[in-house]
Amino acid sequence: MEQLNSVLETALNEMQTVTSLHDLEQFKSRYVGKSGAITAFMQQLKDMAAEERKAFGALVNKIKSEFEEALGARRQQIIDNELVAKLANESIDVTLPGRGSNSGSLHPVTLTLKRLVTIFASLGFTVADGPEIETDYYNFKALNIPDNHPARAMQDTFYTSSGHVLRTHTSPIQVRFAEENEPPIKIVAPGRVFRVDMDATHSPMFHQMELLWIDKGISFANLKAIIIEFMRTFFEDSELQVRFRASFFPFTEPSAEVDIYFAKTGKWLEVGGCGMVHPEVLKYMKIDSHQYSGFAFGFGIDRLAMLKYGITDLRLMFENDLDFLRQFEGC
Amino acid sequence: MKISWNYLQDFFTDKLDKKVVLERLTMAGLEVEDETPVAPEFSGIVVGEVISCEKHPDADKLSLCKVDAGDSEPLQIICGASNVAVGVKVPCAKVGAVLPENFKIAERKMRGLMSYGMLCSGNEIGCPDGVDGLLLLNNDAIPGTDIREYLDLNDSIIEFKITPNRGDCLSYTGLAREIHALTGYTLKDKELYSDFLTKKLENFSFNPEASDKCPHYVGLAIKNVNNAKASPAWLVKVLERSGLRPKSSLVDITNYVMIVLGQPMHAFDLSKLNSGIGFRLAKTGEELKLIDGTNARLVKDDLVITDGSDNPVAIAGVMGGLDSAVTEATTEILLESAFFLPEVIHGRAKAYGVSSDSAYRFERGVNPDIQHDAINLAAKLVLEICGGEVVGSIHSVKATQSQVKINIDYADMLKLIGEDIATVEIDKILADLGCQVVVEGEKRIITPPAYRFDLKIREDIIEEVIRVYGYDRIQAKMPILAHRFNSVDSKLNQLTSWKDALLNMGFNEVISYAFIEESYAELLADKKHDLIRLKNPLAGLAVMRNNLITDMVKTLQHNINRGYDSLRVFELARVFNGETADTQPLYLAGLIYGKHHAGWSEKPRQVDFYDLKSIVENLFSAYGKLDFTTLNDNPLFHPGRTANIVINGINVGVLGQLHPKLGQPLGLDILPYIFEVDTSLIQPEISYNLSSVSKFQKVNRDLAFILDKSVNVGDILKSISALQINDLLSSTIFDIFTGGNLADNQKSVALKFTFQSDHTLTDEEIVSYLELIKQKVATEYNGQLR
Repeated sequence: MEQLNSVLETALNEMQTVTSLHDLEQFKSRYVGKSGAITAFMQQLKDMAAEERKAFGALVNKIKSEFEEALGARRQQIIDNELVAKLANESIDVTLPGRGSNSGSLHPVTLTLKRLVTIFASLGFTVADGPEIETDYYNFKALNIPDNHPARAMQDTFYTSSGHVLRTHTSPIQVRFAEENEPPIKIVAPGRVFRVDMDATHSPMFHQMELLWIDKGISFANLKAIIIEFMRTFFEDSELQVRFRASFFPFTEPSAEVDIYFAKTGKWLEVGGCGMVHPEVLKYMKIDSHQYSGFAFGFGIDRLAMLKYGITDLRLMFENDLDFLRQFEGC
Repeated sequence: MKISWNYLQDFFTDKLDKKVVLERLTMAGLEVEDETPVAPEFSGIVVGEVISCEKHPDADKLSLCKVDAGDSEPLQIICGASNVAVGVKVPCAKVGAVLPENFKIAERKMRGLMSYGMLCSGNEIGCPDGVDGLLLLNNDAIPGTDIREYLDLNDSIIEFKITPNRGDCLSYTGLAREIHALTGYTLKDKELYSDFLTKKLENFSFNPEASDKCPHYVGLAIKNVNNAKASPAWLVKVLERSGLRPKSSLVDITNYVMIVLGQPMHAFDLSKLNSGIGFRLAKTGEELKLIDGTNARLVKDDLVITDGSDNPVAIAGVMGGLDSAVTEATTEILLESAFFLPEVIHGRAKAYGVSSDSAYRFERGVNPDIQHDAINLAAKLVLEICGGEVVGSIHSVKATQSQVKINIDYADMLKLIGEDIATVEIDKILADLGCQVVVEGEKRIITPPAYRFDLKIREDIIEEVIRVYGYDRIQAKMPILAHRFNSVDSKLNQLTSWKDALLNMGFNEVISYAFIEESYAELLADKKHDLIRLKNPLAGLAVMRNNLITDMVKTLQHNINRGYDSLRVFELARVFNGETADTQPLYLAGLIYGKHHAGWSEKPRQVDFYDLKSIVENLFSAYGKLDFTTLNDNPLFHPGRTANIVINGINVGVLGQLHPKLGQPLGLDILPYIFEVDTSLIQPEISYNLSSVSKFQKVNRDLAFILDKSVNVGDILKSISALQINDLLSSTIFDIFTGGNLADNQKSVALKFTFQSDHTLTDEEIVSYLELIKQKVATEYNGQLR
């Protein structure tokens, strides 16, 4: 009996020194194989009396099953250890950069435009578009800017040799859209515009967005609300101060300049012009000004992009320098 | 427009609060652009009279002076200026005075003698007068008077940005009226001028021929004037502080009347007019030398002023002629005060390339009722300053349109404004603006004053009301209207998704100007269309681009110069094939150049055609059947490395390597790969044509063919697809091999075919399919199984 217990004790101790599955199989056969130490006790059974055999048999079986249980546990432990060792061997330098192409970047004007379209779409505005080489009619006349009028001098215009103009603002899209669509009209019209001007704050080409909402009962108070809400949404500042200064545009009456207040600099900054669509322009749009009223708001996309991203020189926007463009990767 | 704040203040009985007034003006549409003090900060400087002056005993260049600075005892001051003398009155900085830039005056010893102050030059008090030495003051200056007061230096020059509709504010009177309406400050009573227009000018012809263009013309002759004396100091000061340079007394007087009343005037030398004046339309071929020296070739039908011999002597409202202009020797004059219609003067100064304060006002409109007042004020000043006596006047009036009357219903007005404003307040605002308001039933009839010729329609009145009421006082209100869903804008979605796809493939988006240089147009523009050129280009950017390839290449060059050796860029923009709306399509172009995925783990290699092709495939395969055809004669591309991009049978663009012949002129050693498509030719809708998903096992079979090198593998795939084997799911190329035991003109192409059907495919079926393929490749391409 003691003999049996001591064989188990020796076996369990020895088992802890076995470290591979192969050695474990050999070790196993030394105890429970054909000529194993535990098997040897089983063979003694046949020489025993029935009573004794029963008691001894039960004991041997208990010892054997304890052995095998321990063996199973040891086997799992060895498998686990081997996996840990294998995985440790497989480790790599995770600090190296990822393989393959980097993500590129969208232009800050595009990023800003996306944001603008999303904001305005959430209020039900759709996007309209128009040509960049325009006729005098759409760029000036239909916007109530007659020939030679001093108001034309407000915008230095590029002319093509055949006498067309490069649109000086996105407002022509208003008229084009209204010709094709019945009111109510609720559009934003972004695009490139052109003026003969080039320095740190002026580019001969820049981007504008035009907002137009014509419906029954649209008022100046509505214009204020939409523009204030828009500016606050765009700059993510629900307290942003927006002010409206009386001004003059031939295509709106009453007209206003829109300024926003920069607490950092303590200064008002002009961001756009707006007003109630002039009855003459409504006439060109073939919209009955007794039934419908509307407002328009035009502003520079580049200027908003510059404010949003802290760009100080407008010319950088169109130099296409990768040192500049790559800073927008991931934006 | 520039004005002197102090001079403006003179139009009011109230003392103006400058900050309040300028803020109100800015908010009401008369934006203050700039405010400049006329002199820098300094204090403690008074008028001093030099009562004795002798040489400093120990210094040659210094004078020892006694100066009466208004105190009980004269001050001993040592002065180094050469123009110091007994009796002169000069600025005297007393002990304790602070000069500009915080320079403090204290008593000090100079060569052994005490000096209690300093006599100043114009420069030293920030009023440069161009004189070397002390600033000599007029004899009327009283010693001890603060110099800032004496020279009126506590003044600022205010510059306003006046919008084109507010010609009425281009004068002190106009601005003062506006300030009164906006703030309620009380104006001084209007000055009444003596009437000099009592006598007709005799022996002088007058031909007001084109009176429909000039409804009001007044002329006044004055003789025995002296134009050789400089203008009095007060006049010089007002002009200078209003941004005008003093010239001669007569010109200064006409300019003064213009800035005070808003009426541009002209003074002719009467002796040069051949005893007459008139106005008519210019004839072809007429010329006139203008005051500024310009030799103007008169435009037919422009309004001109003519002399007694019918020769042009001035371009009406723009500029006078040199020959009839007043000079120092002038002794008799004809003053002109006229109302030319704005549309007659529109654009004329610009057309003649001259800068004219007169035209600037006439084309914006002047008060049609002010001509008499203006000429009377001018005459009064001429008599005062230049002497002389009035000879007589000429006068022509054509009845102008009756005054504008605007019917307005306040309820309608308030609806458009979106704010309740009390009727009395509206009435008061309009009255303050000088409008006559008559109640007629529910409506009011508004008659604007003559000088507010910009007020023509209901909306103009609405703007006036809220401008004075204050835009900031109007409560912002969100519109309450039925909401509608936006329809999906598939074109916009398409453009956005291309941009996003390119972004994910490592491209940087660029935005370039729409115009390019002639030199680039020559090399890279699309020659299929006539180029559109600009009449007035900037920086040599004279040609409207008709492709994006040009700017792709320019972007590449710029960044190579900046040290980059690899890049991927794209642009989405309009190109200009014509000038109509439908000939300015949106193009999308991309360029790849340099190393492919340069990184730490792969051997670097140069990008090639197939890198670009996979990008093009990724972008466009969802928009229809995508095809690449080699029949391409685009001269910008390498003839052996280019293809047309074809979607649903429509040629939408091109891809390939830039033509090697362009390498040298563009300074490129390695030619980039570029694609460009006309997005207007691609339908924005993605066509979904899903086939059912089979549950049965897919079967793969490989075949390798030996082919002539010239055979296009793409053609083989097309031919196999043309077999229309329904169970053939896909055919892919998995290996292309040349060399080894193959002949020089041969290549081996290995293809993998995947079959699947609505049942388990039998060996016989598969073999029969493969047989069809083998036969096709053998007969059409002479391909032998390897």
